Amino acid sequence: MSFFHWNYINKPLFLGFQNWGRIVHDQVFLKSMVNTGLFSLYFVVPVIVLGLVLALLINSKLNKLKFVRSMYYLPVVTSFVVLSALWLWLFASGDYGIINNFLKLLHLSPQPFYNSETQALQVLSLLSIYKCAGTIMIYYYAALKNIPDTLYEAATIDGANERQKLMKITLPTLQPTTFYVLILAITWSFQVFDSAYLITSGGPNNSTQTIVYQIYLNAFTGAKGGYASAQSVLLFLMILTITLILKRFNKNDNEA
Amino acid sequence: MIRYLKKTNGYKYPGNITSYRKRKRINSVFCSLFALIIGLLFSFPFIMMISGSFSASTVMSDDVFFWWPKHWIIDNYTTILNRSYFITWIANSFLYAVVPVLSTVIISLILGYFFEKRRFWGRNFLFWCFLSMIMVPTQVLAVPRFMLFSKMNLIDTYKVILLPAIWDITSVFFMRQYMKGIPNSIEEAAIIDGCGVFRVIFSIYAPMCVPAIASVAILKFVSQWNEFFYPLVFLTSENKYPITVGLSSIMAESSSFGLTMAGAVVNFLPTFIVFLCLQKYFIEGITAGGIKG
Repeated sequence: MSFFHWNYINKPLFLGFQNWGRIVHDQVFLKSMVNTGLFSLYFVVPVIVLGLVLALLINSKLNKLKFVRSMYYLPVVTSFVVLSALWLWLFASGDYGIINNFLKLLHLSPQPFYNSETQALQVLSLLSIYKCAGTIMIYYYAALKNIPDTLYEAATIDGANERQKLMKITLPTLQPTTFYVLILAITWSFQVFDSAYLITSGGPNNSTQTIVYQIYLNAFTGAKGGYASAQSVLLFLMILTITLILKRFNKNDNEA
Repeated sequence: MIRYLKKTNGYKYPGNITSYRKRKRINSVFCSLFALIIGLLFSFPFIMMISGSFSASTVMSDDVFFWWPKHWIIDNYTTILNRSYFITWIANSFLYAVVPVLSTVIISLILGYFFEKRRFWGRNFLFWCFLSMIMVPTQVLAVPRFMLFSKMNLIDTYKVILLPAIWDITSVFFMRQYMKGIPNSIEEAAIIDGCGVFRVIFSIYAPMCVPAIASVAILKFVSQWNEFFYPLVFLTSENKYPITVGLSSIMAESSSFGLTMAGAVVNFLPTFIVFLCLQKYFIEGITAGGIKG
């Protein structure tokens, strides 16, 4: 359908590559692509690191509090709508938001959060990190459980300290999981829609427009079916390319 | 042997065994404390949500603890339950969640069985076609699905939510993976005793796959309950909304803190209960279904 003009009522009209040409000139869509890229930047690495730290925490024999695992996992089973409602009040801008109140308590200056073009996207990515860290934690946790104890015992006998064990045993054995989780996180970050729709509705000044939000606007409020199809196809191709490139890198890694 | 062990410990930690234990205990307390602090940070929004839903404050104030009620009241809940459609939304959400759970379990059992235990022409090719569909994100499918459903005049009906959710590939994959662990001899014995295909699936395999069924059902329930994009796009009349879309319209129309939080609690509660009761299956489901994919 990406080669047609269709408003769902009239017969689809063949346009050739016109929809695709329009993407290149659509300033808002280009901005949404940049925003999605920025979002990945804010989201992917922090969420993986946080997930790994949480997994190490719940797996550690030193940690006696097993129930914290459920605390970390709780946001995963909660819907984006609920979390967005919470985020809306936590990070409300001006003098009244809850986080801003805490900042004032610590004698820091209140932040504009959703009213600022740079901070709005960061706050949204924080929401996604909060929601997704639990899933990544579980993946890492399962992988950690699969590392045989004998490796650590051997290392202890060889006189390795905890840090060496972490760097030389744990992290290298987790490498396949990291690869899988990386693809997962990138895919998530390209699909972000709910929080951008519910909290900021793309604003301020289109700084939280994401690709999926653009597709939503064009397809379902603007009745531009063909154009939205072209954008959907583009989104899919982007995810596919990134996955394939990463796969390639991973292969090279294994061969080396 | 014991002397040898003590020796290695002594070698690694200069000093005697007691100081080693002491240090280990301090490390343990420190580690637990760190875990607890992060846990509290993670649960703070939820604490705020639950306490806020009982508070009377309608607007934000610059009091740091305005979300902690001075008097605990349930007015927010009575208001929100009396709001038009609210009960309908909850019922809809259950409909949109429970029907797909049942159908997904049945379909994934059948397909999982055929893909794992039966050989037929093109089996692996077909399975890989299915698997590659996992790669396509749901939002990409939204536009083509919208076109298809509007052609079929299904927009704004219950069917439009239920049809796409009737089964999913991840569940089939997971079920197949689980059935791999069950030996064929059981099925062969059943067939010799005169079992038909469906009896083999539902009386022989289903009871053995209970953990897998539980995982599939729970993950499906939560994802359906939390679904937001599809209902938002495909439904237009308010009496067909699920609770997620309903809550978003409450968020849009009222700026009352307590009311929004009460709605959020109602939205959050079913998944929370499911999660608390069946935690084990969650973790199994995610890890077994995901890692090999």
